[in-house]
Amino acid sequence: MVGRSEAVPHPRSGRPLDEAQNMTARQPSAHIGRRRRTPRSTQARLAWALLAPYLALLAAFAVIPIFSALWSSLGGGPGSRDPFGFATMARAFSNNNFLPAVINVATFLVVFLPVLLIFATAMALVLHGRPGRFTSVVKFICYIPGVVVGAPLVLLWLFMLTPQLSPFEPLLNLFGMASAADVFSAQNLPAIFAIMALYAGAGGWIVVLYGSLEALDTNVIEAARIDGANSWHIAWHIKLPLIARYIAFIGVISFAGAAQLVAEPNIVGAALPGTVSDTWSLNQLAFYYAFNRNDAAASSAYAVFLVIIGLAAALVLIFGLRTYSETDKTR
Amino acid sequence: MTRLAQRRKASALTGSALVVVLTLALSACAGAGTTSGPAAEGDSDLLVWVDATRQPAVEAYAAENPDVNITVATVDGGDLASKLSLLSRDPDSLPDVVFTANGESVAFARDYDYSADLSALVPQDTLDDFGATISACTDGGKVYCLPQDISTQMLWYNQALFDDFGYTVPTTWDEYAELSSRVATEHPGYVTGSCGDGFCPNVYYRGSSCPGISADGDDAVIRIDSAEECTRVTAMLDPLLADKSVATLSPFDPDMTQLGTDKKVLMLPGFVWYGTVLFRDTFHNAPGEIAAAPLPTWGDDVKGAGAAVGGQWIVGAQSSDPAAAAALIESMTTDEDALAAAVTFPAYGPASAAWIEVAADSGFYASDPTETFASARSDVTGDLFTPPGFDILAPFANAVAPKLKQGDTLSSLLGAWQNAISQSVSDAGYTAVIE
Repeated sequence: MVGRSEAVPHPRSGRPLDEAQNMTARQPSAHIGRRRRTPRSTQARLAWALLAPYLALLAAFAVIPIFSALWSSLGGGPGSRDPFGFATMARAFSNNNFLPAVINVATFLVVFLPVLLIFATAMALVLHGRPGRFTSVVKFICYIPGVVVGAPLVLLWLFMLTPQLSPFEPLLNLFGMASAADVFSAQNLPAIFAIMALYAGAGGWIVVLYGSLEALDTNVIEAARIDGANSWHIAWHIKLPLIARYIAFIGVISFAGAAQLVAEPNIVGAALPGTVSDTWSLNQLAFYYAFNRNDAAASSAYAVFLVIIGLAAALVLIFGLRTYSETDKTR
Repeated sequence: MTRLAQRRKASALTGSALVVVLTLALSACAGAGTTSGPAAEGDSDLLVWVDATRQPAVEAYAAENPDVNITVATVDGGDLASKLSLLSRDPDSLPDVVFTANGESVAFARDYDYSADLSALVPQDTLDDFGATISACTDGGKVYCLPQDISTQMLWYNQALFDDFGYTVPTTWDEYAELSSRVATEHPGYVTGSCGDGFCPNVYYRGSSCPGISADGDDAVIRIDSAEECTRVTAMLDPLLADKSVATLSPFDPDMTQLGTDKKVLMLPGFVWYGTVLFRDTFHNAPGEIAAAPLPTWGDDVKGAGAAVGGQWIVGAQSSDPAAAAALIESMTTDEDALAAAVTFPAYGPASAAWIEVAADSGFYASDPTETFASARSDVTGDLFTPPGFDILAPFANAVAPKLKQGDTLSSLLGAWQNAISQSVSDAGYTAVIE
């Protein structure tokens, strides 16, 4: 199917697709002559000028804080109680609250990620399988929950899941949940936070995946149909492999975001005292040591841990998933 | 809503700190901001850090004392320690007066050399009038703060329901346990106590003089599972949690509010301010329903009324005008008229008497609470000072309460509790020893 697209005209330019792509790719190499250097370096300068504001902000709010956290977690920051070295890290990672927080966040991820990916992909494929007015409406409906995010989202769910306040009280009672304590019990928390995150995130990703399906070459799908493939075959064998890299992208991004869970346990814990530990998630643990224990060094160690998780996810995205970095070659 | 998070602070989850926090939560949002006092030409400049609740009182003081140029800054209680720690390298920028709702005066003296010794700044007579409550400010013979309020405990009960059911108010914990079990069989659905967050150890364990943690040099000895004063509480509570007469809910849980408004709270051992904050304003009990009795005893004549000191006013040791700063905090903690109208029970003796009078005249209580309130205050005789990190309350709320709600027994969770306490004391630099 990859070969077939070669002769296909580009939707906008009308040029064969391959040629249209190669135009941009070949342009620099086709003008390597000495006299052409000036425009090329002008181009590079322009690129750097456009990048500069981003790089400045990246340095100020990402790179410098990361190194400062690293320095502080090694005992170099103000008010550190440990000698310079790995003593603070050892202290932070042997903390009684660290492993439970890792387990909590991991449980949440195990519930949240697969459901998000399967649900969003399935929804996008189903919608794309039957285009029309119905699909546009559903796409719009999918987008609506994404408008409520962050703290208000948690409040919304807090109301929905507290039987005394919820319009769904009979439904909750049906599951044997008569009070907030029944719903927000320790073993339910990862699932509840996953529901909150799914509600906020899934709709947006469905729209993104639908968009990626729209961008697929219709000729490929048409050819498959002529070869006798039914809707299921097309979805499973044609569309799914073609959008796999988008799904991987969503997975990696959601993983990094979900690992930093903080608003959900914080707000539920504040509304229902004694229900959620102050140090339920890793981010809460970092907050607790920075602001309740005045131990910036230990807090930095947790921050560094979260950075490593985030960076690992990004590296997997860039190098691990070949399909993502080698987009053009796979075409 | 960060004030609510602040409520869960590990340091000292004192009752009155909670009132402050609740009041803050009610006042919606009070972000850190700076307001200036009257810019009068004054002999001295004072920088005052308070929470949003105390801000009006300080501003009123500034208006009455134009010779002192007061700048008020609202600083969130949770940020105090980190801010002082950052500024300790630049003494000129440190505040002259700090209010803490978390009992940190001695910690600030120990960790940052911040708190000034007030023995020479405040008249001895005034210090004496604070009675035992001043012990929370005292370390090594030095007085590092003036306490604003104190939380003492008592047994709150619904007089109307007691009359209906024909019960008598228990005076010992054995009677309390017996009555609770009776309620579970005779009137299921009614509750006789709450054990779902830090209030539970605060009321039941500290009310039993349970030592919890005690310092032994660099060791912090944890005796939740060995000291008799602690184990008897666990043994009493587990059956009551099982028969649901003691609810696994915080007094401030929405489910508890539901029970309260349904008039299902038969009795509730708790703090002196529950009368107004919980029963009158949250459960909406009618006047003449609720009464207070002294906290039950363990029958060994030891009145284990656990008390906690709430707000503390501190003068900075580096202050350019310590006398003016001391005059301000003295006014804040001894002004009888202002304190008598406050939500929390004043620490200053004469003001607490005025406060009790206001409560007795309010017409809310089913019987005159004067004697109960006064005796609850005079019961406070011990040393109220708690070393930093020596907290059994937040570890309970974090490690025990969530699983208690799930149906686990208290005795099965003592290990988790001790584990969390160990972490808290080692964070404070002690070596945890579980006995």
